[in-house]
Amino acid sequence: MTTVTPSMSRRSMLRGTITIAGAAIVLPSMAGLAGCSSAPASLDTHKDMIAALADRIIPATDTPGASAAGVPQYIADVFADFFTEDQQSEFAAGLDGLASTLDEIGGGDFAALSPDKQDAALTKFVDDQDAAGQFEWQQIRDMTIFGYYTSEIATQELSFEEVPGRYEACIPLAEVDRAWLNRGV
Amino acid sequence: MSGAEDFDVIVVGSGMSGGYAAKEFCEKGMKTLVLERGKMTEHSVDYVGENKNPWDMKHRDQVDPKLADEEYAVQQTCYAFRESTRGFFINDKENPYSVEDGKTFAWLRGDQVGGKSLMWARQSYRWSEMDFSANKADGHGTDWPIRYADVAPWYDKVEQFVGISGSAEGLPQLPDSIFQPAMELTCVEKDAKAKIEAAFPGRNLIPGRAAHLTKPTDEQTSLGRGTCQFRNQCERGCSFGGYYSSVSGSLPAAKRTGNMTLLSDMLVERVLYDDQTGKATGVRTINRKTKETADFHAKVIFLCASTLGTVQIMLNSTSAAHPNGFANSSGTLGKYLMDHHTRIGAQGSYPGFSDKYFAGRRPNGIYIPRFRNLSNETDNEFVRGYGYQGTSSRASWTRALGGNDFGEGLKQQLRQPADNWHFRIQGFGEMLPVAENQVTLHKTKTDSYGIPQIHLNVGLSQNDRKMRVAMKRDAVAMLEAAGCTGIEAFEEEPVPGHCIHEMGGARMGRDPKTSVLNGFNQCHDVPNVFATDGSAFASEACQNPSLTFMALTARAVDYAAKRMQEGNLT
Repeated sequence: MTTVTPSMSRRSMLRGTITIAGAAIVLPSMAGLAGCSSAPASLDTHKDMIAALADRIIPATDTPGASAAGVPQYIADVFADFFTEDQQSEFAAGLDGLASTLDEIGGGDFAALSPDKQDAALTKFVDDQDAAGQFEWQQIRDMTIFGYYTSEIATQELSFEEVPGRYEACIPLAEVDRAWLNRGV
Repeated sequence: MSGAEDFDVIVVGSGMSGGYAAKEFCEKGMKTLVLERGKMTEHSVDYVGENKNPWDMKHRDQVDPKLADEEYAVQQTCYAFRESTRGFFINDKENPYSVEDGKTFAWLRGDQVGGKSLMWARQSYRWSEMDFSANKADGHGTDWPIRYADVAPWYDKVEQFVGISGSAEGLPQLPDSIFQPAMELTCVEKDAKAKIEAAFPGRNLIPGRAAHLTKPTDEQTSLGRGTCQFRNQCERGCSFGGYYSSVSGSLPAAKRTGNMTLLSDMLVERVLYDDQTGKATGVRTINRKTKETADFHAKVIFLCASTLGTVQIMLNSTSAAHPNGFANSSGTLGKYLMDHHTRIGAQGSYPGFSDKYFAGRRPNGIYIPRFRNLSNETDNEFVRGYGYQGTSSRASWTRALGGNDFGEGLKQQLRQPADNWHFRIQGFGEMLPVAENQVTLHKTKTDSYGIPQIHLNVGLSQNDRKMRVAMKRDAVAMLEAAGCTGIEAFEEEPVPGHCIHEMGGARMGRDPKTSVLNGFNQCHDVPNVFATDGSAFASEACQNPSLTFMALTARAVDYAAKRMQEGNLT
């Protein structure tokens, strides 16, 4: 029954990504968890930042961007439904660090910055692997990409045939025009 | 129920083997009771994950990892386990089993009418004379009491019913089936085929042979099955009937005869035996919903409960005459368990063809048939052999995961597929039949029905280990010959069971002193009980076994039915 088992990339493993059939759910690492038993962690404080981040990761172009594709809700659903309480606490705390880094670079509330200034602030995470919030940035980035390309909006972005009804093994790429939207899992 | 014979035949299990047994008996006019321990599955109606796009599912087809860890600790390791298929996998928490300390075993199980035939990977290969004569040739295991010629007509029959897409190659080690048109190779696979076959005469790269309809027959369409639509969401169930399962194929065929009674949620606890006649009288069941016990009686019992399921029932069916398990005078019941060892191979980038692409999602890959020890040689570094399954692919947006870039440039870049194609092959190796690889009943642990849990003690032999060295080495060499770049060999320690090709435990053989079943899958000790799933296998070849499960089932039914009609099933 077994066919080819997708492999987990090293970076995904380092990032604490669970892969199921090649796709990713991003979870915080389990390291450094102390017993915190206060109120359940929430994404509410960082709601605007997450939406702003998502829209800079996959911006609106001639097709809609991440917010219009429902990515912030997808991230909230993964956080609420898939994370353990400990993972929620750790992730929320990490977002505090991410927010501090971004606010500091941008000189104000990241979500309120212009897209250009937001992009400029985010290059910090491309340039500096040790920046505070790097880990959470990468998780938000991957969840945004996964959430976007598994949304219905993505059928406007990539080629999609729900029921192909055909298999053509070797055709010019130009005939398809864009990459196939695969299911991700 | 009364002690009278309620049915001509009881078939235990409704998966690949049980469904086929039911069809064959029903079509011969036999009143057939099919008992399935899992829930009811009706074609199309119960394919709850089908036709859902990722955005139709809140979590985009991902399973809640907390739920997976809690209730599907083993099942979640299956490549086909997703939210849309979860309902087809058994709940591990409710269905525990035991593994020897220091060993591993992944018992991947269906839990519904149709069993694993709903989620199988559909790869379908005949065995050859080499495979059926291997035990005799090298002395491992016991000689199969049958040869290729005994099975060939039954392959013909099964293939015409099931529908196998593939290409005729004329290879002696992998006889051709009766094929529907093959699924085409990609341009990369065609190129790799030419280069590998040129570099290594005797090796072949061929389209995977898969149980998909590419040119349905009238019989297939009469059952409501149609052409594969290339959606590649098979494991969720397919309302087109594009791939074969017992739910789309054999069970509807059995049902339309009017001779089948199919009961779901019925766990078979044991086979009932009559000391006076020396025959089985029926089976005892537990209704999983009500926990009520009921006995059913029939002239003949076919055990098709999966390799481990059948052996569990037999081990549990003790009586004064069968103190060590049913039909176990040989003492071999539970022994010589096998699974293919895999999770080893190589992958790399495939240069060129960047202007080429594909359309449709092919639910299939390529196959490289066995090329080692084709005459069952015993003087090489190992005995037996291995084949490879593989595929070429061209990554889409998922290649962005794990990166660090963002923005319009990323979005724009992902509108095109990856620059390079990727090519990957994975070996599937034949494990030797070894007595020490054994399933027993645990002495104290029971399941929630009070039935002893199975206890698995399975590991790789030295021959298997030596074979793996060659499997990896050959994979790399073939990718090198194909011109791949960035070649990475991969190898993970195999977990027995994980390949879901369990075989053995009630092996066929010529001698009742050393085997459980004869050459017709019939218990040496009890003539009206047959086991026709993987438990019967005396060796395991290196090919995917489901096609052979069905061929041997059809053959055994033919034998049993003829003897029954003659009143001569002894």
